[in-house]
Amino acid sequence: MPNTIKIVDGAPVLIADARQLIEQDQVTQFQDTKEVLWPLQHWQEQHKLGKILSAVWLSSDQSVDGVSDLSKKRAWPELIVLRFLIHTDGRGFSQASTLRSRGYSGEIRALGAFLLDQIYYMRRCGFDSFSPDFEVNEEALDYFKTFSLAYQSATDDMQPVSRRRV
Amino acid sequence: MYQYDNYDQRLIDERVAQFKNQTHRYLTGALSESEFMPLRLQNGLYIQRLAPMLRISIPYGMLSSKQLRALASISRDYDKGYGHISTRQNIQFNWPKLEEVPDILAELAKVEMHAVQTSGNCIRNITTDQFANINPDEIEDPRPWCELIRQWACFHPEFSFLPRKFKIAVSATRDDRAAVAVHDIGLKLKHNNKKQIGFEVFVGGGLGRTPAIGQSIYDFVPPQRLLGCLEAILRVYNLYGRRDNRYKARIKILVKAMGIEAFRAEVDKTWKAHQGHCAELENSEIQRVKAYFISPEYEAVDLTKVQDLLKQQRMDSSDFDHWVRQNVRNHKIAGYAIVTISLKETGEPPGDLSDTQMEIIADCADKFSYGELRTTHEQNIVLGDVHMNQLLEMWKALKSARLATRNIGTLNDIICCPGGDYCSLANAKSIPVAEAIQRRFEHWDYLYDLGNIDLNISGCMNACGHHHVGHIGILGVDKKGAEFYQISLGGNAGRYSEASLGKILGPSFKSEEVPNVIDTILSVYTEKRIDEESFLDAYRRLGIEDFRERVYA
Repeated sequence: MPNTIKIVDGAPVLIADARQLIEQDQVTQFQDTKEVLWPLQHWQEQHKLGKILSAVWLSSDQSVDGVSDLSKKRAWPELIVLRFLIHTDGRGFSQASTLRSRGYSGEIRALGAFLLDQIYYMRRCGFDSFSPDFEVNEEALDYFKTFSLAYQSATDDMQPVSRRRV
Repeated sequence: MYQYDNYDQRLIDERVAQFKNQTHRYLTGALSESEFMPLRLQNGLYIQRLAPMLRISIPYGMLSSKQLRALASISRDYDKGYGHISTRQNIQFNWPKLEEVPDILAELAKVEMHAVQTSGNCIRNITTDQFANINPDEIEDPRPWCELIRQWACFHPEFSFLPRKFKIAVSATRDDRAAVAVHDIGLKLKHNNKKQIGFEVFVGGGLGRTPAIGQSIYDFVPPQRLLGCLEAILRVYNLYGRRDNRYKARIKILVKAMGIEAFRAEVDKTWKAHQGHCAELENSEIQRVKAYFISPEYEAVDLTKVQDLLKQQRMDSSDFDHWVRQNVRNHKIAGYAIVTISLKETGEPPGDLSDTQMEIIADCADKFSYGELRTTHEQNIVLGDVHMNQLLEMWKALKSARLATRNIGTLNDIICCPGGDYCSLANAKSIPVAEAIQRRFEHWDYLYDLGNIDLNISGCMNACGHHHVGHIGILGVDKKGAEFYQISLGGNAGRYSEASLGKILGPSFKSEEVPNVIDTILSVYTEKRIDEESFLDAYRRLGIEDFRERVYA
């Protein structure tokens, strides 16, 4: 069952991602497996030991510095997941934006409690995949088409209206 | 004023379609209350005590006569035939049906209007001086800057789920008529020592439960860097503003907790980190927007002739004479005048106007003021470019529609929130208190003798009536289930350097006692004032004790 919307080559598609998000106290149960989304603390510890885990998640109150500071020295993860506990908590939007400004070009995923109505903005902030806490179907993909223009520049390639007029 | 091109129009048309879809999903149960809430708030829709309330955006207070007629029509077709001007220059309708709101937004879009981001935890209406571009004492017109900031803020993808609301105001004069000192971000236009234009940036001002005067974070930001600066501040606020307690979630709390130095350091860091990715305000865009705000083609004026005529007209009618003195002020162009239409007739809720009155004001705007008007944060309406020889004719037209109340700047020009009669947040009614005070001070001679007094009334701590910055402030409180009123003195929204928050007089009063209390306060003033000093100056000289003593004697 597809549970994630992902932008692939510029177009949104539905995929199934079986990877589970695990908490710090579950880490020992899941050692040596690729099928999880690792909590930040564990990811940092492994990074310092020379092991770059491919997927890490952050809660809204964790600074993206926790990933970017280490990554500058060696390597970024392939996937950074930003977890939303409630749809009104907009910190993830700035976390994503900041990661892109730090030069991160891997996948940024929104996971948890957010609305389809938010994915248009999220994409502009640098998210390229979305795993809400409800089932997704083809209708979800239409939400990226909400606006055909933007006034302001953001991390995406959308040319702000002011530049189109020149 | 700004005119939409097809890009601007397309954006709000797409917004109308979006909200229509969201409303449909809500009404069919596909969106829950809590899911629909931020979506409807960002289209200005509140669920209130008696009915939904729709807050329509009037960007920095500018309206065309065509837009005002559309508002009149909407008030008739979808509401009860009137609207209310808010303290952020917007207009509110108190009785729309929820399911009809998408239709209202579609009607608004036809006249380049919307309700985008007038509520919700996002960047709200950018407000400014109601006398922009017509005031003799102005650095430069703030309105193009307001429009540029408005566009940047509109549908900003990163800042639509902030800890709380975010309000920005822009001012261009020494007299801060935009209350810039009590905004989340306040921008003051200024010149540097090379005569280049730029902004002083203030952050962390606000009213409500914990009022604060904004602090200067940057002394001079050049225009090209303005949006990057705003983004950096918003980003820091979005990431670090409190989300655990709704009453501690504004940026003023964060700035106070961190201290301005640490806050500035964090903004600097963020700003620097996003260089090359953040918004640059390009000169071509600045010039394009400025071109919409040119002055009208003023007629040549035979100044002596016009002044003599007005003098004679004033002598012929004391009613007209008083109106000119109170409601009319000098324009930067000699021979022209700025007219403030009072929406504070005794017995009418302050700031309200009927559909008929809207039509008459629209007609007056077309006939006398180049088809444009402005809403003010004091809940009145300004016609900004009136030829002095037309003042009498205009006054007569206004008078016939009960729009010529000659009380601007007086005690009876009250700023008053909708209060307990309408608002589910209120602790007490505010409108009846305003009326009772206006009736007490009906005697024109005495009212005028009191001079300029800002009396502001809020029905609760949210301070939508700006009571903290009233020379006299009244706050509705709930005391054991009953409505009581707390009085404060000495607040001021005026010149930035003189902005102050009111001091509480003492224990609160019952509704029926309030007019007497105000009367007593003003008796102390008239007894003790020296020469022509204003109420505020007298208060600042005397201190609160003289007033406190007499009121609680």
